[in-house]
This record gives sequence, C-alpha cells and structure tokens, in this order.
Amino acid sequence: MEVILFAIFTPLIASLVSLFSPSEKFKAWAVTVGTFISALLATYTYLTVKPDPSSSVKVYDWINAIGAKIELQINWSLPMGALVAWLVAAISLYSVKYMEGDYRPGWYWFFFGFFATSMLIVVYAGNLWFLLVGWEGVGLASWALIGHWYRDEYDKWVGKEEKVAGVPYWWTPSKAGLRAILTVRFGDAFFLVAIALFYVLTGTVSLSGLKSSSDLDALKQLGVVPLLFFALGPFTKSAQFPFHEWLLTAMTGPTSVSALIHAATMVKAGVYVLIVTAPIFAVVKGSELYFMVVMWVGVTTALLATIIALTSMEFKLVLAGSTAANLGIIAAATGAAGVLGLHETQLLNALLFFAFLHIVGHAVSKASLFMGFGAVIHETGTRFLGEVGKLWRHMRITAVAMVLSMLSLVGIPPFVGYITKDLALENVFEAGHVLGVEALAALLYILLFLTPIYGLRLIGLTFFHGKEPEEVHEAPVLMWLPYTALAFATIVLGAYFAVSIKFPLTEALVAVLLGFLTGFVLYIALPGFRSETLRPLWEFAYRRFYLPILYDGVFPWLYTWFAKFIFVVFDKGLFDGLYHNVLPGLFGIASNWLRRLVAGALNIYLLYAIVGILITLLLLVVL
Amino acid sequence: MIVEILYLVIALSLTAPLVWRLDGRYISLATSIVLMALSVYYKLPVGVLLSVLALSLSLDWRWGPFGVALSFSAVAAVLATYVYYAGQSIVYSLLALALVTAAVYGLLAMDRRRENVEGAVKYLVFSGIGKVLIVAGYVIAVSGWWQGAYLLVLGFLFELGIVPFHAWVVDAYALGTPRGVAALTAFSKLTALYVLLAVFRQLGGVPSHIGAVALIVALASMLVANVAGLTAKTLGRVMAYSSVAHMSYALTAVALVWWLGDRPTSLFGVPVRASDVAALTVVLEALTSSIAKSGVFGYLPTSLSDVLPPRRSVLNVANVFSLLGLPPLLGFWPKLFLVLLVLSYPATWLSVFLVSWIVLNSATATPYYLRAIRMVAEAPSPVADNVTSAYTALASVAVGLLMPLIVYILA
Repeated sequence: MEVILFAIFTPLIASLVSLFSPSEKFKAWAVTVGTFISALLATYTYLTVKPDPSSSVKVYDWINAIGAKIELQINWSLPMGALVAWLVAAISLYSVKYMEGDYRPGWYWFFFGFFATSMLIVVYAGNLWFLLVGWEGVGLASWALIGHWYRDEYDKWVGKEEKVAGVPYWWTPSKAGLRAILTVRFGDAFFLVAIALFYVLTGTVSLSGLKSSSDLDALKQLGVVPLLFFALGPFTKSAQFPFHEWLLTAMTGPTSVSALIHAATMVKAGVYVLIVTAPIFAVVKGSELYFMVVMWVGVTTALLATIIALTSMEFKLVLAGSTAANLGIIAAATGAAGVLGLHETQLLNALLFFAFLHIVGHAVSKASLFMGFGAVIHETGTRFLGEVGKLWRHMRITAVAMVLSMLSLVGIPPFVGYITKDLALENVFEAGHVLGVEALAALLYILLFLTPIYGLRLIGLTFFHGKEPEEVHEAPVLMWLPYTALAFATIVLGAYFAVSIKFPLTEALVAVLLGFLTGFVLYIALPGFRSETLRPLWEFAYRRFYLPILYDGVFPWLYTWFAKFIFVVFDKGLFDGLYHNVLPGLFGIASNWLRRLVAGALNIYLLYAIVGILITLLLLVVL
Repeated sequence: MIVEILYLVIALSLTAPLVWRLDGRYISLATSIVLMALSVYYKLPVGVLLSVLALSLSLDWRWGPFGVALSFSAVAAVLATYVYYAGQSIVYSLLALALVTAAVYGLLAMDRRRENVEGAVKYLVFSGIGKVLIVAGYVIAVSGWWQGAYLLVLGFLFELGIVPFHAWVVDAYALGTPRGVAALTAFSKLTALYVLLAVFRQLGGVPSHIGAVALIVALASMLVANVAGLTAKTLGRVMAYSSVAHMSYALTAVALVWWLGDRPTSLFGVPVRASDVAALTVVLEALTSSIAKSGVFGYLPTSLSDVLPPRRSVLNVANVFSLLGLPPLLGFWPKLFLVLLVLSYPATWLSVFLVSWIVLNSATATPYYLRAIRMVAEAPSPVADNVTSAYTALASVAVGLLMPLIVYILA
C-alpha cells in the first residue's frame, strides 16, 4: 500500500522540489527523475500485487460525515497505473529537450508533476471523493498547461485569424485554457452532485462498498438520474460529443502536454471511470438506459470526431480529432458491454476488459504520434498541414516512428491499435445486433473506413508530399527516443496481446483495409486531392460543423446578456437604485417635510402640542 | 444633603449681588467645588460628574451675572440626582425642576440677542406647561386617580421634548446662547429624567395602557427625530434632533416596563429586575446626552448655535461618536441595555420588532452624526478645544470603558 502511495505522490514531491531552484535543467530533471521513480514503483505494484475487485485499501478516514476516505482500489488500477506512470515518464523525458529554453519553466514543470500525481490519484482511488480530488487536480493542471504560453503568440494558436459569422475562429492558449476548464467544470458540477446523491442514498461512496451486498438494495433503487449526472463528468473529461470542442482547442498547449494530458492520460480518466463503475451501476434499476446513452454518445463522438480529423489543416488538430474519436470508441465499447452484460457479471467484466484494452492501445499509439509531430512542429516551425512536406528526407527516424504509430492508430494488423480497437468495437457490433439496430453496424463501418484515410493523409502530406523545407533536421535524441520506443512498442504489444488475449479477425477488417487502400491512393501515391463538388461538405466539416459559433458566439452572448441583465435590473436598478436613490430620496423628502414643521411660530408649536394631546387621548381610548 | 443644598441655595442668593463686582464665573466655580465636595461626601458619583462639568464651564467662559444662574442649574441637577438615589421626598425633585428651568431660561437668553430670547421663551413656555402638568399629575396620582399618571406622562413629554411636543427643542438649541444650551443639556434634561425616575418609583409605575401609549409615542418620536435630523443643516439643529432621539430612547425604556410590567432578568450574568435596567438606561441616556452635548455646545464662541462651527474641535469628535453609540464609548451602553431590556421580555415578535426598530433608528441616525463630526472636525483652524470639551470627551471615553465594571458593582 505504501508503495502505491509513493508511486502516486513522488511526482508531486519532485515538482515541489523543483520550485526551489531557478535552474531550468534542475527543474526538468528533478521532475523527470520523480516520474521515472513513480513508473518503477507502479510497475512493481503491477507485478507483485494481486488484483482484488471486492475490496479497497483504506489509508485514512478523511471526512466521515460524507463518507470521504483516502482509499485505494487494486483492480483495473494496477495496469492503468503502470501505463499512466510510464507514459508520464516517457513524455517527461521528451519534455526535457522539447521545452528547453522556453519561458516560464517553473510553471510547466510544477504542473507537470502536479498533473501526474492527480492522474494517479484518479487511477488508484477507491473512494469517489478521493477520486474527485485527483479529478479536479487534472482539470487544474490541464488549464495551467494549455495556457502555459500565456503570451499568446500566433504560432501557438489553434486556427487562423479569421471570423465565421462574426465569431473568431482562432483560439489563443489563454482562451483555450479557459475553454477547457469551463467545459470540464460544467460536467464536474453534475459529477459532484451524483457522488453526493450516491452517498445520501446508499451511505457509501467507496467503490468496494458500493459493490458489497449490504448496500446492494439501496444501490438498486438509486435510479438512472444519478447515473446520468455521474456520466456527465466523464463525458466532459473525455471530450464526448457535444463537449469535444475543448479538446481540439487544447492543442494550443505544448505538444508534450497534448501528448500526455490530451491523448494518453487525462482524457482517458473519464472513460476509465466509466469502465470501473460499470459493474457497480449494472445492478441499478434502469441502468440499461444509462449504458445505451453512453454507447450512443460514444458512437456519435467517434464518427463526428473522425470527420473533423479528416478535414483539419493542423497536425495537432488531426490528432486531437482522432483522440476524441478513439475515446468515443472506448465509451461506446463500455456502454455496449453494459448493455450486453447487464445480467451476467462475468460477461460484463470480460467485455469491459476489451474496452479497457483500447485505452492501452490508443494511449501508446497516440502518445508516440503527438511527440513525433511535436518534433515536426519544433523543427519546421509550423503547425499547419501542407506548409512543409517531404520530411522523410530530413527526419527519417521520426518518419519511421510516425508511420508505425499511425498504422497502429488507424487499426492495421498486427499493431496493437488494430487488436484493441477491433476487440472494443466487437462489443458495439454485438450490442447493435442484440438490440436490432443494424444502422449501428453501418455507422461503425463508415468509421472504420474513414479512420485510415485521415491517418494516411497526415502521414502523406507531411512526409511524402508537399513543399520541402531547406533547413530541417532530425529531432534531438532525447526527443526521438521516447516516441520511437513507443512506436516499436505498438508492435511488441500487438504481438503480446495477439498471443495472450486474442487476434480478432472480423468483417471490420475489410472496412479498415478498404479505407487504408483509399487513403494510400489519395495521399501516399497521390499528393492529395481537391473536389469542388465535395467542397461544401468539406467546409462544413472543416469548420467543425460550425459548433464553435455556438460555444464561442451564442453561449457567451447569452451569458453576457444575462450578466448585463442582472447588473442593470438587479444590481444597478434594484439594489443600487434602492440604496442610493430611492431610500435616500424617500428619507430626504420625509426629513425635509418633518423639519419644515418646526416653522418658528410658537402658536404653531402649541397647535402641535394640542394635536399631540388629542392623539394620546385617542390612543388611551383605543388601548 | 438636602440641608446642605438648601444652605447653598441661600448662600448663592445672598452672594448674587457680588456679580456687579466680579464675574459670575467665580461664583459658579465656588459652587462647583462645594457641590463636588458634597457629592464626594455623600458618595454621589453622578453628582461629581456634574459638578466637574459645571467647574469646566466656569473655567472656560465669562458668565457675567449669569454665573449665578449656572450655579443654580448645577445645584438643581445635583439635588435631583440626590433625591432619586437617596429616596427623598418628591417635592425636592419638583423644586429642583423649577429651579433649573428658571436658571436655564436665563442662560439661554444670556447674549441678549433677539434669537436667544426667542429660544429661551420657547423653552420656558413648553417647559412651564410640562411642569404644570407634572405637578398636577403628581397631585392627582397620589390622590389615587390613574388620570394623574396620564398627566404626569404628558408633562414629561413636554419637558423632555418628545414628538410632537419637540418643536421648542429645535429652536432652543439652535437659537439659544450656546453656553446656555450647554447648561440646558447638562443640567435641565438630566434633572427632568431623574425627576421622572423618582416620581414613578414613588408611584410604583403607571397603568399598563398608559405605558402602552407612552411606548408608542416614544417609538414614533425616535423615528421622527432621527429622520428629521438627516437634513438638518447646522450643528445646533443636529444636536437638537439628537436630543429628542435620546430622550425617546430613555422614555422607551421606562414605558416598556410600565406597559409589560416589572420582571426578573439578568445583566452580564447578575440577576436584576427590568425596572433596574430601565432606570440604568435612563440614567445613562441622560449622562450621554448631557456630557457629550455640553462638550459640543460648550466650545462654541458664537451667540447662536444655528451656524456652522467657526473653529475646529478634535476632542468633540469623541463626544459625537458617543452620541452615535459607538462602542465602547458612553453612548453605546444605554442602547445596549435598552436592547437587553427588550430581550428580557418573553414576547418574541415584540422583541424582534422593538430591537429592529431600535437598531434601524440607530442606523438612520448615523449619517447626521457623521455630518456633525465633519462640521466639527473640518471647521477652520486653529483647534478651539477647551476644558469643557476635554473633560466631556474624557468622561465619554472613560465612563464608557469602565461601564462593565460599574454595572457589575451596581448590580
């Protein structure tokens, strides 16, 4: 248990230590060493501790009145913890070189370690309140790191300086950071209410406690509303539709941050929590609706985000769209597992395992891709797809690594991405078949077809076609080593999963290969293509279905209008008006009138006295 | 002490012709010293305070022949105080009241301006009516008729300047000679309040319905005075409305006990009776108003108070804060005790209403006290603080700070 605690808190300790030196190198290496120690400890835990889904390890009673305890779970958390810790360590090593010479290194390295600890808390927490601590921590770190480049230089933006329907279609780091935290906070509000409801209705928020038989009846009667509230937390955190926008504009952050937080770890927290809580929620009456919602939200996100990735013109935006899509796949797989395994615990756990596997497969592939394309941006000085090309001549190692990782990401066998994606989507195919919704399969085939196309588009336009730059060289070794290692890990892991779990062979492979062929022709053999016929469709997708107009135009306008309304009507009108105008005015009028009664004439005063006597006599009679 | 005071009055009367030869301040100085000695001998702390106040007024100003009037007003105040605390015959209280009225009338008109005389006459008329009602009411009441109590209450409404019988207060304060107004606030109002306490203690209270009437009138007067004071333009008028308000607070305390009856309660953990708390409230209101206002008026060198102060005063800021009720100054305590008195009665909604009324009135009064502070503190230099303003400021602060100890000893 202490080992797990050390694994969790070592990165934070390292980041606190890093505050005590002004040297950038010290900060970088202190945190990197801390993350490697954490990774080793997490691996040790994974190898030595036996998973026990039925119990939590209690460390400390925190706030008994609301059931808050520092508790650890030792089930899914063991492999997830090891995965997260190693990805953090790898990306930390990458960051040493990537962030060298950048401004505000103290901020970056502090929040890097802070994020790592928060994420590990989310992974290992066995109590929902304790989980919430880590949940909020990763949100805060995300804001801090997305907005790291607070000077808002143009080359750090997402988008170009243009407006659509009067709404700016560019996002600076500061704005993107705010977008991220506001979206996530929205979901967190419902998440928090749900946790409180769980406690009130069942008397516990311990993950093992919720599963135990003593609270089962209370849990069964919980109702689906708390579950849907709960789901909003993961939906926003994992950028599910319609909350996916923040993830796309989060690409204003350093690429190491994008790799770590917005691809491999933080965004996985949402779907991870969906997986971990699925066996608990399966006993709740009406939970079929909950799982259906999760599944459909996942499918919708996957499809729409894939289309976004297909039409984006920035390296990181393609990858961000792809991340949202894969998170959608994991969510859909989780929902489908719930639908299929609602009354069979063993089946449910098996299907959830497939969903969990894709977290691993995607994380490894995407982390490598982000780091690699981060190196491309670092070396070429541009973030736009198509501004530079033919980079395979200048960055061979990176090119190879990116090709490997992309093949894994788009689901080409025998890479790990193919295996995990196929296994996850099998859940969804089966669920569609069981529910009699054949359209679901069609949607999934379209998804599988489009995915390789966007992947090969990114690779083709960057490494094989386009305008060749003059002075670009390979990334430094400290940068290419981590992502190249991960790229090869996609093969190794693929082989390992194929042998130890399953090597799936389904009709889905046909759709993938067709998509691969199409993508190869269009973007590898040919230097891309343009179609005036498809241009309106492309524009619609390129503008991300014009949703930013809603989030950055309509909603802010509504809120601003509402704030002004409150200010003008209530604050200035009612309260200020009352306290500064009406009341003083009334008192002033009354006071002046009363003072004028003292007119100076004695006979008038005597008249007042007589009136006063009459009033007192009247009061005497009445009382 | 009655005998000694009687002798003192005779001595003053006989020495009055001396004012043709020497300034009357020396007579009042000597009288103050004698009063101080008597108060110390008879263990009368309030008497000590009043005699020192008279002493300081004597030291600050040339009084001419009106020094004798000042002496008489001080003697009357100390006599009224003694009668109350020693439980002496009410007749002496009434005599003190008459004496102080005559003396203060002369003091108000001492600068002999038309306005001074106007203010003095208005004071005399209403105070006179009040005294007639008080005497008549007392005679009827001791004969066993409850209507006597009504007349008594009515008389005190005139005497204290409770709304709607308050108009003379504004003119007396604004138009009277400031030194005379200082004596009015210091001695006349205090005498009236001690006479009120003594009379009603002897009578054993008043019928409940009269108490209710008095309470209603007191509450209305509180509000009218505080609202009217908000737009008062000169220092004299601000202080006048303040005086009406303070007298209203005092009347509220006794009226509450008259209406709801006496009952056991506690003060700072010490068991007392509601009537004791009410009496304490009245005494403290009297002292607050008399000490603070005599300091404010006692530093003005003008012939009228219906002006802005010509010179600055720093120490009187403390006096005005005391009138405002700022803790831990003297003026805070009667308001606190009034609230505690209200809360000692079990009627919840009544308590809520009365406490809210008192607090809101205190809050309403704040702007005009702050304006008075600005008038006094932002007047042109140089600073014109004198012995009276120094002494009264010291008394307002010191008595306020020592109040918990004083209450504990008294209880």
